[in-house]
Amino acid sequence: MKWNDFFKKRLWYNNSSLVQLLGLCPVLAMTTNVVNSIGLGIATTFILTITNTIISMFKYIIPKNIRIPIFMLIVSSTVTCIEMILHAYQFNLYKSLGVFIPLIVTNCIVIGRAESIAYQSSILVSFFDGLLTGLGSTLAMFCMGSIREILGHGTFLFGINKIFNILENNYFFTILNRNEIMILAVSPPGGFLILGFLIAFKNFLDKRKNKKYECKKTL
Amino acid sequence: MKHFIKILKSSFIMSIFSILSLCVVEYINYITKNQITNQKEQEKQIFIQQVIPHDLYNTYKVKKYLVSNSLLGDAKKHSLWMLLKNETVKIAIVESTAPDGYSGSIYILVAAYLNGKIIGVRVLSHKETPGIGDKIDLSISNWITKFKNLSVKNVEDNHVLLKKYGGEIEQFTGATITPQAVTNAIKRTVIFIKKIPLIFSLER
Repeated sequence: MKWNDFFKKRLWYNNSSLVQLLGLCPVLAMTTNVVNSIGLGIATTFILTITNTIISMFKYIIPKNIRIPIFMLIVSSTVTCIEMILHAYQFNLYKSLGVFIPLIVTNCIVIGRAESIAYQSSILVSFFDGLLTGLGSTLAMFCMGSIREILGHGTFLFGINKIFNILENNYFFTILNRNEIMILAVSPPGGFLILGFLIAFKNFLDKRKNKKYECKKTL
Repeated sequence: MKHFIKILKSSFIMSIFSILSLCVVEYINYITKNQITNQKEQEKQIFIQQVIPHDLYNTYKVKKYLVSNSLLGDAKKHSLWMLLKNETVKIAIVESTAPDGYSGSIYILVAAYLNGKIIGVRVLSHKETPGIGDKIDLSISNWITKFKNLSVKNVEDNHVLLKKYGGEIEQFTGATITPQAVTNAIKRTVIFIKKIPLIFSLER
């Protein structure tokens, strides 16, 4: 039951992008199509998991007064390593993510989780915390990316061959005609609008669930 | 004295962590270095194959140079590939920039004969408005292929201009700044290519 709560809290009730509103810069900038948002989400999840585990391993060695510089050191070196690996083995994805991989260093989710969870909890807890927080962020980015891509480009999963090299490059779905698309959805103001609508929709779902729960209680 | 020891301890831990992370980054760099240079070379090869047909490219000998010229849009060094046959230069492939795009510079690759006839043009990277200005990209529309076999005589030549200004190139609806910038950049680059024999004989 405790683990169930742990999962639900990180994936839905305390989602880092939709509730805590952390790390919005990549969320708004990279979600113009699904593949980019999944790619950045997976990279963020990897980095969160690795840094959380490392920091949790060294939590008795790191003194309290210089913990933030050491966190930054660990986070930035991990990000550099991931960037080089992506550059070497997933070149197409690296090209489309571009400047946003180094920017994960300044993503507030990573340093926030390191400070609040990894520095105080055991290795197992911080590993799963990193994994689930990253997955929650990826989920939010996936929703935003699919809405924006369908409305703005009329396609879905365009360029999926950048992630799965086995697929061919014409493997995507065309949903809307080229004349029916809304360019606003791909532009930055459209990103803010859609994020607002998503947050509102999530709150609506939560409120409805709460109401049902209360109704049951009173009956 | 107590303070001093504390500072010493902190700096010791800090340096240990720095050395550790440096080692890890250096090791990953050592593993991936060759692969990264390989990828960069492959990318350039793919771009060259796009602007010039492969069977044409294979019959020439290739020499690579770095040039900087005001005709190429900015003051940076640009790559220049010269294709030689019987020790004389026939075709040049140049990386060029259009600095006056709608949002930022547009980077293009132009291949042309030295007499000014264009073989092929591709857009390498751009930041134009999606849906309006990005029709210069080959994956969206085939506008960029219409430059094939056009030729530029001199600076006042009116063939390589948008139809709006009396030229032969069709603009696309909604955007004039982007195609105009690309067209002008191609024209300037071809003029640079025509000047190549002059420039290189002066340098020698």
